[in-house]
Parts: sequence; C-alpha cells; structure tokens
Amino acid sequence: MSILQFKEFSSFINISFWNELAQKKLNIFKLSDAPVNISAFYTYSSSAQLDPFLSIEYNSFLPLTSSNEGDSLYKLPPKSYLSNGIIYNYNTKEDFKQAPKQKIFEDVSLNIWNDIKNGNVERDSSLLSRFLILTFADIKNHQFYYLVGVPALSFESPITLRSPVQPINEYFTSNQVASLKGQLVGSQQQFFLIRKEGQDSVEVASLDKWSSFVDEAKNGTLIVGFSDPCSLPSNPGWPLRNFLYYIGFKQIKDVDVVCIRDVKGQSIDTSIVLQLALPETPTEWSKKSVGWEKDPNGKILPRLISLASTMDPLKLATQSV
Amino acid sequence: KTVEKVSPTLQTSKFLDEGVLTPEEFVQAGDLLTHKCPTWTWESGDPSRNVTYLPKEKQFLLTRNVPCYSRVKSLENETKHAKYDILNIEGEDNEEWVAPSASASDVVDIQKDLASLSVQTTTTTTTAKPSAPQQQQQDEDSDDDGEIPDLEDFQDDNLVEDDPSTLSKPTVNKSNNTTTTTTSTTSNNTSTAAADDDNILRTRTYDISITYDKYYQTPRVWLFGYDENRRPLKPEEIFEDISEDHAHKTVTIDSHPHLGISFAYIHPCRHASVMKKLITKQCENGKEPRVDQYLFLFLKFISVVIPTIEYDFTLEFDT
Repeated sequence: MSILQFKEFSSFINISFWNELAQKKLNIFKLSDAPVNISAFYTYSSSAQLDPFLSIEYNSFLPLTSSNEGDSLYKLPPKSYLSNGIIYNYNTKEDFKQAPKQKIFEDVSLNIWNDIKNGNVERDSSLLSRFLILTFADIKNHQFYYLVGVPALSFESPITLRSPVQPINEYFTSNQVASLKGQLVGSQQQFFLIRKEGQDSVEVASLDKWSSFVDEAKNGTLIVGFSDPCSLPSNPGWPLRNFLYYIGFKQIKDVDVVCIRDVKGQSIDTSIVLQLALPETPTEWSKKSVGWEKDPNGKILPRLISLASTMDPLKLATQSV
Repeated sequence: KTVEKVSPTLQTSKFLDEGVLTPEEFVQAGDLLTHKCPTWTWESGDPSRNVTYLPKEKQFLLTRNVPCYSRVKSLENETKHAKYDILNIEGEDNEEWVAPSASASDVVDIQKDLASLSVQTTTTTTTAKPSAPQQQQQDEDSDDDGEIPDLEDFQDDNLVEDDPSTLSKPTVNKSNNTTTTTTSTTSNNTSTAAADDDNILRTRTYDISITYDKYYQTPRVWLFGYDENRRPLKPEEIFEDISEDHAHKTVTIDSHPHLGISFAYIHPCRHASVMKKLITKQCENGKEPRVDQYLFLFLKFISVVIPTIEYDFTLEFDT
C-alpha cells in the first residue's frame, strides 16, 4: 500500500501586498498587533515547473462581504479559489520572534475542525482552506519578515492509495468527462461531490447535498472532486487534506477523489483520480496538524524580503532612464 | 504626469490612421483579450488610483505567473543565425524603435534592430536548458538591500514537522553547480537547478500588466518579475529578460499607475508608429484590421522585446 503524499503550497506574496501592509501599518494598525482577516487565492498550476502557489496580493485586506454598497470587495481572479487567512503583524522584531506560533497554528486548525464538526463547511466549503501569516514590517529599511502556515488536519496514520493513480479518461468515459467539465465551468467551488449517471454523464453537487450522495454511494464508492493547484503526476495539492479529514469525520473509509486540473481553461484531461483508503474515522480531532512553510533549506524559519531596490526612492532614482 | 493631467482624453478613433486607441477602444480590445485568453484578467487596482476615463472594474489588464524559463542571452545565442523576420516592421522611412531619450547617439542601428526581431515570437515552448549552464556573472549581492540578518536566530524549536504525507518543496542542494540563473536577494546559496524529489525545474515568473497611457494613447506594458524562490527580481535582473537591444533603452522603471509600486515598463513612445505599420501591413495583405484585436497585434510585437516571457496571446494572427 503506497502512502499518498500531498504537495505543499508555496506562498507567493506579491510585492503589492508588502506595499499595502506598510500603508496599513502606518495609517490604520499603527501600534496595534491584533490579528486581521485577509484573503488569498490559489489556482490551477499552469505549468509542471511551477509550484502550487497560495497568492497574496494588494487586495488581500479587502473584505469578502460588506453591507455598504460601493465598498471595494476582495475579488478572486477567474478560475481561482479562496483561502481564508489571518495576519498577525508585530511591532518589533523581538515580538515577531517571540510570537506564540504554535498556539496560533493550533487555533486556526481548531477553527477548521469546528467548521467540520458543526457542518459549516457544507454551507461554505472554502472554510476548509485557511492560512495564517506572521509578519514584521521593518518599514524604515523596506524589509519584511514573514512566516506562513497552511494548517492541514492529520490522521493518526497516513492515507493510502487503494490502487495506482489513474488518468481521468480511464476512470470516466469521455462523455462523462465532458459532462463534468461542463458543470465545472464558472464554478467557484473548491470541493464538491460527483455521481456517475449512466455511461454518459455525471452529476456534480456542492457539499450541502452530502446526505443524498452518501446514501446512494453505499453500494459503491463515494466520489468527490476538488480543484487541484498541483500538477504533479501522482500527488494532489494541499487543500485536499482537510477535505479528506471532513470525509473521514463523516465515517467514510474508501473514497475516490477526482483531482481537477485545468489547462488554460481549455481542458481537464490532465486531471487524475486517486482511489484512497482513509485510515480511521475521527470523532475528535487529535490536535495534530501540519503545514508550516519551510524555507529553501527545508527548515521552518521565517523568510525575509527586502524591497529596498523597488521601494526606496533613492535607489529608484538611479534606475530611471 | 502633469502633462497627462492636462491633456484631453482622446475622443474619436484614430486607430487606422495613427495606431492609437481611445479609452473605449482599449476596453473593447481588453474585453476580447480576456475572453480569448483567460489568463488575462481585468483588474480594478487600488481604488484611490482609479482613472475616470476607464470603467472601475476595468482599469488595467493583468496576467499572473507567466513562466520565463531562460534568459534572453541564452536565447540570442541559440537563434543567432536564425534568419527570419516575423514582424518586419522595417519602414520605408527607416524609422527605428528607439530610446525615450533619443539623441542622435542613442539611435539604434536598424540592422541591429532587425537582428533582435528575428527572435521567434510564438508562444510555444522554449525548452529550458538546465544542462547548458551559462556561467553568468553572479553579481555578488552588491549589498544594496541593506543588512541581511541571520534568520537562523528565529529558529523556534517547538516547530518541528515530520510528516510522511507531506511532499515538501525540494531543498536547495548546495553541491549542485548547474545554476542557470543568477542570485536570489539574500542568501549566498543561489542554486536553482532541477529539484531532486519531484524533478521540477524552478523558473522565474512574471506578472505582466497593461495600462492605458493617456498621453501616448496606447497601451503600456509593465513587468514584474520573481525569481525561482518567488522573490521579486531586482531591476537589473529584469533586464536579463529583455532583448538586448531594448534593455536600458526602451525599458525603464516607474510607479505603476494603479498599484503605486515600482515596475519596469516598456516605454510607449514608439508604440503607435509601430502599431500603425503593422496595421498598414495588415491592410496591404488584404486583411481588415479590427480595433478589438489591437492587443493581440500589440502583444505579438511586445514579444520581440521580451522574447522569453511566455505570456498568452493565442489568437491565430497574421500580420
């Protein structure tokens, strides 16, 4: 039985985000280091040579909803999926260093668990996708320290593959693939349920249809799908982990997962299907979660970005023609 | 900037006569681009920087994470002898595409210009060549980014993850010398070669945005680059991805009008005249130029300047 490995996210923080953080720090947060909600997105990997990215941009601080009409809202790019984040911006390097990192990570993980337990994820599956970022903005020197975590609830033992990874065109008929693709167009759902309808079509449904899908799957295996930011041939992306934890919590042992990969909005033929065995069905979360971002040397260490060459007016002057 | 504020917005179409666009035509062309190439999106940018002559949700165009597998230098070596000229923007009047600060001495020799135009302009794959190490000059981190503290000081012993289900990013292999590209900003460790665990070759990426330039009445292209570890590229590193004849002459740095941060941009002073020529050529070839296809033509021409950045403009297009 081979162990399924999930490909980690790479945080991809747009320089415009650091600029925005610096502005917020100066004008709004000031000396407050209270956590603030932010949003990020991930999308399909356009190339096998690009990691799955969790992208944080200039608009990450904008709210997702607002009662005031005319307020600017956070808007996902097309074919992108939401991750709900929280940022802890510290006032000093020392505060940043001493931050209760483990506690914060556990709190976010606990939120995910609570949303699974209370059924909130059935109303909004994006709640399975959460991240945290700890920052220290050294504005004077245009330097930013940061550490990102994308918590994934872990089973006690690894998830295994019941059979080798299959291309989508072997698992479904070509008409079923076309039917699936048709129903995914324009969908912002990251996680969904799938049911074969004869040889020629499938039905796709959101997680709030869970009970009816699960009842019918009793005689066969439950099929689910998710929008996969990874493009490796036999590894799914990180968001699947919390989805599988949810499925495990629902007392499911065997599940087939369609990892949807989308090439430039044209084709989903590179998608893969994983036939998985979940190790156990948790009724309580074991407090185990993983997902701190590693530095290029594989260590869980903060990273530093220096934007002197793009933010410092003096250095800019020397670049201009 | 000041000039831009006082100059009136172009009202009537001069697309066919002068190769320029009205804001409305820019929106039309952008709509077609985002429709045909979903990797391009309309963005609204920083609300406080919105311009009134464009719709709030359509302030500028953006394509993210465009891979850039090789440096222009290596491409130019590969195709040095390839002699075909796709764009052929050589005009009868010998108008060259030159620097913004065009003084007589700056004028680029037209032959040289044509040489750079012979670069292949299709979007199809330029295979990365990790096996041909270009011993590039590693600019030894000319500490212009200030003092770099030791991040090891931030080690938190409580944070340990040993998880069999995690496929981590490949770690940097210190003994690996097949570096094809240059430095990352902070570490001395700049190897970016093929990964050992998943065989992913790291690549630079670019965010490319197109804004409407009110003064020149043409689109303006902005580049923002990231290295293999997603660190912003320094301006001099960005120049490595710009065709030699254009780097430092037609590309410069300024603050992006909708984001307020510094980007490299391709100076638009010659855009209109080049576009005009391409449009004329289309007419000569019996094709009817369409203003909503402006950006496809435009991007094709821009790819001469940034030949290794593989952005999308897939519409079949002949000039």
